[in-house]
Amino acid sequence: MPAGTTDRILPTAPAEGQRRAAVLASPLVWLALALVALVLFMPATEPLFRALFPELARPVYTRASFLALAVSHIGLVAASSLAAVVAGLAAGLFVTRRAGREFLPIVQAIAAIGQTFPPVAVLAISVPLIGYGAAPTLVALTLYGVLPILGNTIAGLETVSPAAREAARGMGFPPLRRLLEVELPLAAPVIMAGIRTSVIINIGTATVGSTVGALSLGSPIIEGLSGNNTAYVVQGAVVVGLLAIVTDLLFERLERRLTPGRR
Amino acid sequence: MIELTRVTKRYGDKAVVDDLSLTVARGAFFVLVGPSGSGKSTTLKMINRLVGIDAGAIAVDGRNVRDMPAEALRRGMGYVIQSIGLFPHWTVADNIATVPRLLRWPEARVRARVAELIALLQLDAAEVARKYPHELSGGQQQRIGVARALAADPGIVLMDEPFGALDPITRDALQGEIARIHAATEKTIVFVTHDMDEALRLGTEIAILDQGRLVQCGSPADILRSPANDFVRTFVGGADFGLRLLGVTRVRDRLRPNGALAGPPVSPDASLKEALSLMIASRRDALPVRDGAGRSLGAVHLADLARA
Amino acid sequence: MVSHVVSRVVRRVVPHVFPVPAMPADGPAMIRNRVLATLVALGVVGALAFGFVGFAPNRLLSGRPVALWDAVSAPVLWVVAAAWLALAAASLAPPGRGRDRLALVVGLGLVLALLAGAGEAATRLAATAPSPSARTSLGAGFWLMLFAAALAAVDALQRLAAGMALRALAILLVGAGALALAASGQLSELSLAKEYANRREVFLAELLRHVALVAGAVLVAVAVGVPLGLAAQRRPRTGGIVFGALNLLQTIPSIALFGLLIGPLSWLAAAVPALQDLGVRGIGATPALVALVLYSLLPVARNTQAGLASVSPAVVEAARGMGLTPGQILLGVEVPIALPVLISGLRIVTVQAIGLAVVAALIGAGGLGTFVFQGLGQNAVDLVLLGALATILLALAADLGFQFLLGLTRRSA
Repeated sequence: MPAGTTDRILPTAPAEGQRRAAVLASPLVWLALALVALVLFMPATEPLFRALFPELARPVYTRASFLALAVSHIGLVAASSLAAVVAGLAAGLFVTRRAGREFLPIVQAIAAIGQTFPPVAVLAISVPLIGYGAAPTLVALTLYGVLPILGNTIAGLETVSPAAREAARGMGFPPLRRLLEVELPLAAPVIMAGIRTSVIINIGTATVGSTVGALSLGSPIIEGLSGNNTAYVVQGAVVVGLLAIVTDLLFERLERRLTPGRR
Repeated sequence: MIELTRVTKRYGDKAVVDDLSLTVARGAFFVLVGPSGSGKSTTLKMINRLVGIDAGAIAVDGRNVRDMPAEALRRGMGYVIQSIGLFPHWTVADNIATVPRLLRWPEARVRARVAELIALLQLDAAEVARKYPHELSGGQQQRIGVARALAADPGIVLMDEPFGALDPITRDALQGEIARIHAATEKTIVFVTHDMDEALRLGTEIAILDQGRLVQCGSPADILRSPANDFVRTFVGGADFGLRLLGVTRVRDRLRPNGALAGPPVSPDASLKEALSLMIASRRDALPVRDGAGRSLGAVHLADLARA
Repeated sequence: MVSHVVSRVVRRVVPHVFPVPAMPADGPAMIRNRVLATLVALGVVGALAFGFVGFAPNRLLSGRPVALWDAVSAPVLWVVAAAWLALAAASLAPPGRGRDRLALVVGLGLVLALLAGAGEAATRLAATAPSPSARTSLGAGFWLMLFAAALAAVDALQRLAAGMALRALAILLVGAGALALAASGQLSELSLAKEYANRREVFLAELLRHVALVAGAVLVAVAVGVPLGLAAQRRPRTGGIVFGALNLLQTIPSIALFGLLIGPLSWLAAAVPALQDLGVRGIGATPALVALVLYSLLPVARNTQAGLASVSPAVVEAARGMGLTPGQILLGVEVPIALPVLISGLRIVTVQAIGLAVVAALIGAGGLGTFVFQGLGQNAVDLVLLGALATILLALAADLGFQFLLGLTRRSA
């Protein structure tokens, strides 16, 4: 490996320094730090909000700690996204195998039509069926979250070049190894893009989930809107906005790492 | 007539066309030939001002092109490029009608002209006119490209490696086509290619460029018989040099007025290369020469082919 | 390399755990259309295991499920049962256009029959109810069967390789049928219809407001985004920066962006009275419109840029060489060629904005979201449904409209 030899010959200090500089220059690191700081120390911002909104008696949201809100929000998104990934991948794999190929067009139609449904409408419809609280939010997030993952899994697997597939078959790969070693790695960036879309939409929908009784970072926003407390709105909005942006940037890195030949 | 006087074009510090002077006579089939990077395409594009001129002047029929509005200048010249560039959202008929419509011809005249050109390019009018470009083969597309360039009946047609992307058989057919159109219409054609055989086949006049400079300019026979320097010799030479020389010499130049011979007759306007081919095919070392009316003019002998 | 190790382990282990059959299992040989068979099974489960409608003594209590056979009259029951039997038979028939045409007609008919049946059930249950405030809502069984029947029609359309005309005809027929049912009063005892009847005028006003909000946002986004996309195509560097910023904006949850705009906009309205006179406020339509435009800019600009980038450079060179002016090249050549991609951008943006505008009701912008959040607040599920279903239908209609438009522009591509 040429990379290994140069590593051994060159002194490691500059490389390390460069890496440290790159870490410090990355917006991801700074935004993530800001997010963590706000979640942990929101009460400390009280003087700032008191100055910005002098008319408010209680300028910082205290009904629940931002840590609790963030944990609940992330929990909702993580649990539903995990379920959506499993379901979306499984369904996407099934309809692209020989046994399930007959279902491919109808599943594609469902994914395409389903994605035109507004996520908030899906959330709202799950209330009459399930009731209030975290449960309808989880169900709605999972249902809606499946669609982009399913769509992109199919798209990713379908775009694996027939030449690569043919070559793998020609070299005697059995179907399962062909899937694991050729098709899935080649489709991974597209699938990951679907997961990214799904997670980002879910972060937004979970925010609205507080209107159906789920605890999330949307709670201060909703409470602030109904109680005319703009400070609460700003606090919730900034934290959830940062959460979404940090998550998106993390996925961007992950996608770049998964793209074959661009490591 | 097109006159280039000491024309220079620079990209950064590098002169891609360097102090180039040329005269293209009216009615000429003028071929600019050279290796890639020789500036031939840039030269062509300076004539219709797709590329600006840094120094020197280009005059078309005595008028400096810089004194004409670029769009008006271009509408007065046909332009054909290697990648064709038909408008994908227009039918073939609409594509051909582009310049006439820009010139606001009456619609009836436009339609008549389109029909005329489809016939001239030997395309099936009923079938082709309503099709979209992507429904045609590459060869058909370039026929439409040529028709589009000829649509407003321009006196000058500029062609930038128009047949470079076609397969050999289609290229050969289109070369024959453009030669026929040139002979029939007496248009001035400026034609860029890197293919020496194409240049020798089509050109009445050939300019060889190298690194932005003119190396030699003359008729195909001139260039083959007396190459100006080693570059030209290499460029036109190689293993095929002798055959190329035979290709630009006519049978009438080697005619022996001796009596009637047996064997397949050859036309006095055929090239010596064609005569040689016929000799080999018919296993003879001499052939009778007859004109179009069948009158015997003499004979051409194998021994004479090698004569300078 | 972790992934390498994992893949090596998986490669060793998986074939033993899941031995790959030499031939894929194809199910019982009799079933010729497994998609339709699955849908029939789903519909039958919906009919047997779930309530067709829910019946509640009043608007705020949750209902008890009423089974299909208890809810509808015998003729309707027979029609529904016969339709499922016909679809089941079609799933066993050998492939052919006749089979698929039958499935299409039966599927579409079943959708209407289910609607009519639900309406009939509501009327029958209302007659037995002790009080006029009793409510009949659509049950899980209804929705499952509706879903299965609609998908059976979609499957048939796909197998028939139906063109745009047949698809449009199928949608128009079902839409006209549903409207006719509603107009005839067949559905008026359904709780959804009652909610609608109670606030017909408000509903129409909010629907118009929703459409106006979306249309306004999309128009502004086009007016700003198309030039932005044009600039990005001509100067890729600037484009990268602009797209990066817009992409970050897109990830911010809608409610957060709405909320973040309240402060600056109220400040702006207070500082510049002229703006206030124009209707600029911290809450209401202004922040909603601004946020919707911000969300819409990226797809519009990016698709404009992608569409223009798809124009082959040879086409532009040929156009210049023939003496088209830069304006003629842009409007006559580049924009028409880029149009399909641009329209797909508008399709994304419009559907997205219709959904986001629901949330805008939370900041007082009105629209169909008003019903959703009012209903959630009052625990009135039918009101929630009224808003949510109307939004979904609006989004579907917009999507279909743009697909149709796209079909028109794709003729030459």
